Amino acid sequence: MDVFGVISKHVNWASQRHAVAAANVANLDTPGFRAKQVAPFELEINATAMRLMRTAPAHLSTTGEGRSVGFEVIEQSSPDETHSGNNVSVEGEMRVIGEAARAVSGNTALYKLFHRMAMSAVKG
Amino acid sequence: MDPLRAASASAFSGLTAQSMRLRIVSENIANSESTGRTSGSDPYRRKTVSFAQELDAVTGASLVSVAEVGEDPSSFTVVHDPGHPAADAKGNVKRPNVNMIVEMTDLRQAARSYEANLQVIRQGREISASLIDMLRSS
Repeated sequence: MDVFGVISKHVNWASQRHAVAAANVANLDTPGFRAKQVAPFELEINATAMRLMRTAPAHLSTTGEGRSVGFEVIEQSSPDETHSGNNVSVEGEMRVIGEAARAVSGNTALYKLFHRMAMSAVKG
Repeated sequence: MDPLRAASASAFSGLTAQSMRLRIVSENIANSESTGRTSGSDPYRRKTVSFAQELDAVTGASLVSVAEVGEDPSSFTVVHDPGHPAADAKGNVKRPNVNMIVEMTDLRQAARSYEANLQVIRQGREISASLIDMLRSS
């Protein structure tokens, strides 16, 4: 996978993380709601590292960029649970949301850098 | 499904639900002294609100909505006040079962949850801004 592919995948992962955290925050006071989280990115990289062999260009690519990337959403095992059976922690979710925003802005900066490098290589 | 759109849908549903909760709390506080008008009649009964998770069919986002606005079944406090219009034959008046401390706690909690949802919206906007920023030629 090229660097632009990795960056785009990481941005996708970060925005998925943001969406899951937003759902957790919205259900902060819903009885019986279990907090969710997106599986870590490292595991995703490992999962894509194990790919099918392609012996001809006509074979389907398992790392194709056109596929929609869905990341696994797992349940959080947060120890503090309220009487109503809800285990969302506001502080934890705020941290996740801040991290996601920082990840996206870092990735876009990186993307711009590589883009500039590619452009200067093309222009000479 | 666009995760950022789903996130803002979740956050906005949270804002709506929490403002409904604020409304119920303010109704309780406003009516904390509302007794009946005729002899022996019941006073204002405290209202409660409960939320439920809801799945949006379009975006697949997990939303929150007000499941029901119920009534607090706890008993009224009784005070002796024979001159009151709602006093019964023995001169006892039933007063609303609103506890100010409980209402204040609920108010603070609702405000805190509302704030958290606002923060989610702010950060989501920041993410979109940095993505759109990629379009600008550097």
